[in-house]
This record gives sequence, structure tokens and C-alpha cells, in this order.
Amino acid sequence: MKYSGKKYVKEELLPFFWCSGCGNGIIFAALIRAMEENNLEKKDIVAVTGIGCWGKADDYLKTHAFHGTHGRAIAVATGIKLANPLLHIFALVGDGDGATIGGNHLIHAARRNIDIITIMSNNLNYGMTGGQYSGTTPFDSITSTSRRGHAEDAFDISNLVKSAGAGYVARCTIDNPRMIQRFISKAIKKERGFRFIEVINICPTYFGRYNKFNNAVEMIKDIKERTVNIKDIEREGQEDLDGKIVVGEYIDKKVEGFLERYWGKIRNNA
Amino acid sequence: MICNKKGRHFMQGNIAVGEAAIISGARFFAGYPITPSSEIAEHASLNLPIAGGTFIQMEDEIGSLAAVIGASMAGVKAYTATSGPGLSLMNENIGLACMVEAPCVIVSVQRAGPSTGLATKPAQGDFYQFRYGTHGDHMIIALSPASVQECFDLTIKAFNFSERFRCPVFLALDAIIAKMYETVDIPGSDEIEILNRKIASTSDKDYLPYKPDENGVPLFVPFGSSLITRANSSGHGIDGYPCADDKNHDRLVRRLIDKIDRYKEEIALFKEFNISDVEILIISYGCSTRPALAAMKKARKKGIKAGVLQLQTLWPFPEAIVKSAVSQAKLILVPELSLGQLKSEITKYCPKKTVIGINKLGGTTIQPDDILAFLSKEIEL
Amino acid sequence: MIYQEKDRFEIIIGGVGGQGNVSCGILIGEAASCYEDKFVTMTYSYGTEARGTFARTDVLVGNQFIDFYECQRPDVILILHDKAYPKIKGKIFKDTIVVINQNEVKDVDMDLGKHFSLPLSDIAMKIGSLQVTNTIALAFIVNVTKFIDKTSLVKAVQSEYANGKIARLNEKALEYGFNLH
Repeated sequence: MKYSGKKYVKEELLPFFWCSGCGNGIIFAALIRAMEENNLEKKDIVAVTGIGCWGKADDYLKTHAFHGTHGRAIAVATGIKLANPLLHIFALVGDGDGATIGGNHLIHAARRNIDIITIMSNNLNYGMTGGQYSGTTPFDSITSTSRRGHAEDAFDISNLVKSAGAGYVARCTIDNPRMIQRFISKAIKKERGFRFIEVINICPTYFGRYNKFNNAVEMIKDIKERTVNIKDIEREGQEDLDGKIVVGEYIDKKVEGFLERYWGKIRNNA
Repeated sequence: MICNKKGRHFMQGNIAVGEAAIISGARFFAGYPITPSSEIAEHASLNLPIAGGTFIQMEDEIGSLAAVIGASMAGVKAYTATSGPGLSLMNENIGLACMVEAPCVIVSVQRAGPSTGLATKPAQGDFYQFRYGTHGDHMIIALSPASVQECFDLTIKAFNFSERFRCPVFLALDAIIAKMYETVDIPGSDEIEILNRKIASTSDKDYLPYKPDENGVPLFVPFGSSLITRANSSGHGIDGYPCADDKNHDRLVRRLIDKIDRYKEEIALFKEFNISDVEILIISYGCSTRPALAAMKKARKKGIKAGVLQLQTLWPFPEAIVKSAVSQAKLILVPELSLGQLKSEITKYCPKKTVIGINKLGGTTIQPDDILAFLSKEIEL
Repeated sequence: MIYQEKDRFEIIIGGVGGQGNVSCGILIGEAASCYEDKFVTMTYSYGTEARGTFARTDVLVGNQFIDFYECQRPDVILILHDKAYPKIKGKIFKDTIVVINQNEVKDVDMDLGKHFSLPLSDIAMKIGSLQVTNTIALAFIVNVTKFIDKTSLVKAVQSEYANGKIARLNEKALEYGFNLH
């Protein structure tokens, strides 16, 4: 299939404002292709964003969009979806936005299986604010606010969302754009429940610089080297996963989703 | 529950709010339980499904207001209910509602603060929080009922104002009026004026989400419409795309204030009692209006020319009403369950008058005699 | 005293949380508001605990809007629990009718107000459930004071407890209450 993206992308606003080497453009392109692959109408799409680099993604879209406060995208998206169940809602959140300040909204939306798709660009730090540490920053990393090393452990965000009850959770990296597209596309087709796609991204400007990567290419290489597919683990058994990035589908189960339960049961029986 | 039944009822203030919300056309509630407002959430949970609406209890008040704003931008009238501690959390997204111009009603039942304070006890200490709680220059509307009947009537008005001006409207309740039960007359739906936001015509190919109409309010388009719309909390141009231009920001923020401010006289709702010959004027709102009225009647029996101005609209502050009411008064008394927030606002508009605050903390009501003591004492002076 | 002609009739119900003070007030409110075109206001004080602490309900019935919502000079005080009596005692005037559930309240001053000690819990148990204690008391108060019509109370009770066992128990409770005096 050939993709043009014209239907969804506000081309006159390109190029992206993201730093060179940042993977947000890759995620954005995969998202657009997944929309196109599923032939979504732009009037049926709402992109909901918060604050952060990835929170600027809606600026390049011609779909409906809600750009709101830091960390609240998933809560706003919840309101939109419950008010108009026919819409495809994409909450586009970063690791600061979605896993840290908005972490509570994330796990509760997963628990409720609110019928939205959340795409988290996880670059392990706050890019827009200047490279401070987030809830996914690995132990011992250097960031603007962990200049002498990081004392905390990171969330394994995909496993967290899976434990919280989401119907679909997948992790991929910007090293494999096709995988990103495949997971988003699958999430669109699933229609129901909370669908979460974590994309491991890089931040060459801050995280990379602080942690002795010379450039984006080195960072992507590092990701590539550390990536393990969940299927390989299942097939070949558990190896030492310390420092590995486990990609693949963490969970893909049939769930009713909040709306089916609320409309189908609570409302109909009221 | 009663839901949408015309006629005479004996009803709780919180329930009257819930009833009026549904009659106003509200079909979405997101909230977090908190004393003394929880009956509103409970009422919504029970009744919204019947009305074809949706109730959700969110994980906190921040998420609650976020969801309300989301639902509103999808075209559904939405509301939430809380109390001071929850309102403190909502402040972040009150600014969001102002900036994206999401019509919504925020009911907040004042209880004794600061912090968790006295959870079940009334107060009127959030007067300024309603107005200035969120950061940045902005304008909101706040209405405050003093009886269960007014809980019903002003909730309808609150939804109407929020739809007309596309802004958050507070229903500034207090734990006395919210929890009290009273005789209420619910009018038939044909007798109630319901306003809805102005929607852009789908044939309007040049539609811009933040292009103001002649009243300064942009036409609304819900998510899902064939016209594409954008809500944007950051500085934005009339197309809804980000814009950090200094002149644009100046224009935007001034418009957000002006669209409400220029109609503040229409928004100013109040009740006057014995104002024509008033010498001692009691100005109050919410629960403190009730002892004020009782004190006024007792004073009149003694020949003291006392009157009451009850402010139903707190914000934008009804300065013209206050200025005119105080003009012939020799003394102004302001009873309130706070250390003088309303008084301080009133004083701005009559700096030369003697304004005495009758202030009470501790979570108990002001007694008519508390006010009467001042009435008699001052007259003797 | 002819209570029907009073411009305002004030009742205080004192007990502890969970005894149904509020639902008792609601019955009065509905009877007077919905079936007699009167204006009723009811406030109640309560603690953060759902059960067991002192709770006071003030019900004011008038022919027009009532300014102040707290009882100033109660016509009736109904005491349902030991904890409530000492806290409300100060509100008893010479002509205040004081109705005491003698099964629950032990230490009372019989000389204060017009005193009625009634074995409300015993009667309720005889009828079949402690839940109807308040209905018996209300029926008694209405019968003694006539501040509202008996039929209004009956209608309010019927509308509140529309059917089933609890409706039948309340019907009996009204009957007992009306005939206690």
C-alpha cells in the first residue's frame, strides 16, 4: 500500500519542530499510515495531547484535536469518548505527560478499559522542559535534575498498564517503524477497551548528551542492540533481561470496554 | 429520586442542583466524591443513565474536570461537583476551560478550610478562590444560591450562562444550603428557558474554531463534525493552531475576559429586601442571607431601617448593584462565614462608607442575633 | 395551644447518626410541603462518622418562606438517644412538648417542658421492626399538636414507603402513634 498522508497531515506546517534525530517524526508517520491503512475519516478522529515534545504532534494534524494541560490528555480523552463513542480517540502522550504527572489517569483509564488508543512516546526524560528525569528514566542515568546520577528506578510502563487491566498493550521502538504502524493499526481494529502502545524513543539533545552518546545514530544502535522480541523470549525461554528492551504485544485480550458495559448494561437497564 | 417531575417537592439543595442540571440538558458528569457535595454525584450516577447520559467517577478532581471539558467539547453539556479541597485540584483545568472555551458547570460546596478543615461544616471562604483560583488573567462566572429553590433556579442559569459565554460557571454553594431540605417548586420543562451554545453551520467552509462572533464568543463545533475543530490550551490563533505572537496573546486573553465582562450587568443576579429607605444595609450571599433576613425583620419591628441585598451573582462582581444599593445607606454590614472576603470586595466600591464585617469561623451558622447586635449597637451610636 | 394557627412550627429531633433523624424530618417536610402547601426547611448537623455520633435535625414548618433555618423556640423536641438529651436540653421552653423514647433515653428531667416519655422501641418491636420507631413518634406528635393534618402524614408515609413489608409496618406504626395519647 502506498501512503500519502495528505488527508491527515497539515503539510504547510512541516517540517516538524522536533530536534534532528528525535524519533517523534517516525512515530507520527507510523500513526498517519495506520490511520490511512484503516481508512479513518479525519472527522472521526480526535488527537488529544498534553504538554511535551510529543504533545505538539496535533499541530501537524488536520483532524479534530484537543491540546490541553500537562498530563491530562487521557482524562480529557475519556470525556470526549464517553460523550461521542463513535470517535477514534488518540491520546498522544510522552513519558512525563503520561507516565509521570498523568500516571494516575493512565492506570485508571487502563483499569476501566476506556475505549481509546494511547500512544506514548517514551524518550526517558522531559525533552521540552530541558532534559529533567521522568518516571521512566533508568536508574543511574544523568539528567538535568539527576546531575550526580539517578537514585530511582524506572517504571516498566507497558507492564504497568498491562497489570492495570488494559485490553491491548504493545511496546516497540523507533528503530522499527513498521512495527509501530502494525501495533497502532491493530489497536484501531480492536475498537474496544484501552489500547496502549509504548514507543521507545530517543532524546539526543538531552538524554543522549548527558549519557555520553555522541549522536542519534549511536542511540538508535544502542536501542537496536538491546531490543529483544517477546516472541523470542516465549520461544527460547527467559534470558537475562536486565537492560533489554522487550518489544512486542504484552497483552491482547478481548475486553468489553467501558462503553459497552455502560451503554449496554447500565444505561439499557436503567 | 425525583428526576424531572414538575410540582411541589421537599428536596435537598444538592439534589435540586442535580435535578436542574439534567433539566438543563446536562448529559455528562465526571466527579470525585467529597463531602458535602457527594449527593450531586450520587444523583447523577442514578439519573443520568435514565436520561441517556453518562456518569463517571474519576480518579481525582483534576481528571474529573478534564473529562468534563472533553465531553463539553464533544458537544455534550457537562458538569462536576466538589468542595474546596477538590476545587483546589480543579484549578489547573479551570484555566483550561477558560482557554479552550468549554462551557461547563462546576458546583462547589464550600466547607470549612483551609486544607481538609472541617469536612462536614459550612463556610464561605472560597469567595476569592472561585474568581482567582487558576493562574493567569481570566474571567469566570459564579452564582450562589441561598435556598433550595435557588439551587434549582440558579443551576439552570449557570448552564445557560456557560452555554452563552462558553466559559466555566461556578455554582458557589455552601454546606448549609447544599445539605438542607426545603420546599421547592419545580416548573414544567416548557416553563424553563434553556439556552444552548451557538453552533456553526456545517456549510460554513471558512469555519475557524476561535473566530469570535459579534459578542466575542466563537461559534461551536463539536468533535465529530464534518467541520474540523481544535481546542487549544496554549496561546492560539483563531484557527486553533498554536501562536506565540505577543499581540495575538494580548487580543486572545482580553477577549476571554471581555466576552463576559461586557455583559456583567445582565449576569448580575440579586435580590433586594427593604432597600428603598434603607439606612443599615446588610449585604450577603448564600447561607448568610438567611440570618440576615431574619435580623432585618426583627430590626424593622424595632423601627430600624434595615435592608438586605442578596448577591446571587458573585463574579463578575456586581459592582453597579452594590454601588447603587449602598448609596443611601449609613452603615453596611457584611455577615459571612469567612474573615471578610466579601467585605473586602464590597469595600473597593464604597471606600467612604462604614463597612462592618460579621465574621464567623468554626463551621456554625451566623445567628440573626449576631447581626442584630450590630444593628442595635450602631443605631445607638 | 392551637398549633394549626401558628405561623411557624418548630421541631428538633435529637439522636445519633443512623437512627433515621433525617428521614423522619423528610416525612414531616413532605407531609407539610406536598400535601398542605406549607413551606418547610430542614437542616441537620452531623459528624464525619456515618454512624453513632450526636445528630440534630431542625425542622421548621411555616405558611410562607422561612428566613432562618434553625429552631429558635421549638414547639416539639423529639429525643431518640441518650447522647442527644443533654445537648438539646437547653432548647426546652416551658411550653415545648418533649417526646422521649424512654427505651433509649434514661436520664431526663421530667419537669422541663411538657414531658412525654414513651416506650417507642418497645412498641416498634411489637409492630415488628425498630425501623418504624420514628413513624410512631411522628404520628404521636401530629396527633397531639395537629400542626399538620393526620392525613398529610399518612400520605407522606405511603409515598415514601410505597409497598411491601415496610409499608405495612409503617401503616401499623401510624395507627399506634395516633392512638398513643
